[in-house]
Amino acid sequence: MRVKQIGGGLVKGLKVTGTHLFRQPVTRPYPEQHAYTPPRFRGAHRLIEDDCVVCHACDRVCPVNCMTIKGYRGEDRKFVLEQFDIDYNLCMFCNLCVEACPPKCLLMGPEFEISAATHNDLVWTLEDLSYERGESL
Amino acid sequence: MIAERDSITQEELVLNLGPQHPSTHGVFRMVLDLRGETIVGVTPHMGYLHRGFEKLAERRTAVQYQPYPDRWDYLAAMFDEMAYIGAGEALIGIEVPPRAEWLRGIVMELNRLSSHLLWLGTFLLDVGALSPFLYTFREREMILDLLMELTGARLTYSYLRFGGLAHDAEDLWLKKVKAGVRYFRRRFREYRDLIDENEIFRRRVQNIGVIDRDRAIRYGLSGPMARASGVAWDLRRGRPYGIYRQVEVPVITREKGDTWSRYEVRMDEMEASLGLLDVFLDSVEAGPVMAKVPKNIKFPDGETYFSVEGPRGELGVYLVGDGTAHAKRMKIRPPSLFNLQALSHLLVGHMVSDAVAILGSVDIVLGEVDR
Repeated sequence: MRVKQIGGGLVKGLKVTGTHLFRQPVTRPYPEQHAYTPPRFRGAHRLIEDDCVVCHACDRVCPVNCMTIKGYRGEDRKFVLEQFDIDYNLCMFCNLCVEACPPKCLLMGPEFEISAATHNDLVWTLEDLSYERGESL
Repeated sequence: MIAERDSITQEELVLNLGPQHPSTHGVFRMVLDLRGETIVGVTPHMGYLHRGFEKLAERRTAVQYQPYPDRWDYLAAMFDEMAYIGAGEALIGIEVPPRAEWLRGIVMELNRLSSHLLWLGTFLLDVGALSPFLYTFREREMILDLLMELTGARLTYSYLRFGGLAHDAEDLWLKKVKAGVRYFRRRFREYRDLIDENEIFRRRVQNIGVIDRDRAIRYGLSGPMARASGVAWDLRRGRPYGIYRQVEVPVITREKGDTWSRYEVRMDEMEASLGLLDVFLDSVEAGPVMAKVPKNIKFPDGETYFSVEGPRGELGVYLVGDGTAHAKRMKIRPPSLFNLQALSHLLVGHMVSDAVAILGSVDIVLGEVDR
């Protein structure tokens, strides 16, 4: 009786294993193949510099204060962006800055492999964040 | 006589399990007192992952704190968000549009499935079965992909907002979830075939770590831990919130209170979640996903307690406001912490190898225990 019981359950399990023997693998060979990043994916930021009005809305809403933004009033009384740094040592990719941006010039792209050798290299400046650079990747 | 007392079998041995041990599911440390291979005492040490989330709520504004609940219980972040956002909404008095409520239900049940799947895989790894882990992670990956398409992140969703949701769901996404539920039902049968009748697994987990009904209530256990001991207590039914006011939620219980019952309750709960997802997907209505809320949200004077039924049990947030944008005080009631209280009762008298299986069946997440 007991032997029958032991056999039954294991055979049933092995049947499932057997059917999987002939199935295609489902793993994604990640470094060789691109990782799956849907359109809403929250990766590194992208900034459309010309649209920025230096309103500091993103800076104010940021929970970890990872942004340093400076600008000056240009000749036509419009604000010109001088410095826009995001410190990826601190950023937690929460999307609050993107939602807060009134001219919708701050976005988040699909880039996520942003590791660097030093803490300083993780502070991204205007050139690193530029929309054009992000698109060219 | 003296020789026998001093012999190695008579001496108590102190064994340090964790904090860097895979079977403790994170940075949890247990100091076990052993006589031979039998456990005679347990001293749990926690706090290795303490990040001060309760204090942080006093230093961040209500809006700024929204991404933080994701980091409490990183395996079921939607429930943490729901607990915090729900508490805030109850305190401020925000009405959430119906579509947002339905979508919240969908993402929460999806998240419950993914959390239970991770538990199932790791629990079976604890008792020595490798392959179910691969099966469950295949399906979990599918759910995480769905949630990533909707929210933009795999674990730290940051999806719920005061008054609604960050994004609306497209029809294509809802169709994908529907297809996913059908696919998952088929796969679920595979798990049951693979595991349920496996005599080795059954003998390994049956009749160990027993906790009876009265003791479960006295320890304040909740979720599958309590329901496996015969306490028919599910907040989705007992104290319904959000969309659960409109649907009938089956409460799954077992009487025995052992590790096997906890396994059965969680397995049945996954099936119940699939049923709920069907209901949600059929009745989700069109409309806005965000209510009209002021830009600078302030918590009014007063206090509230809001709790949700997470995959591990009752997850509550006690929130005190004082008219500013910051919370005056916030206290989290994490289910894993309370379920861990019963640990010494569960473990004493068992073998060391059973300790790993019993701890696995409690399903702790240290991010939530330590906060």
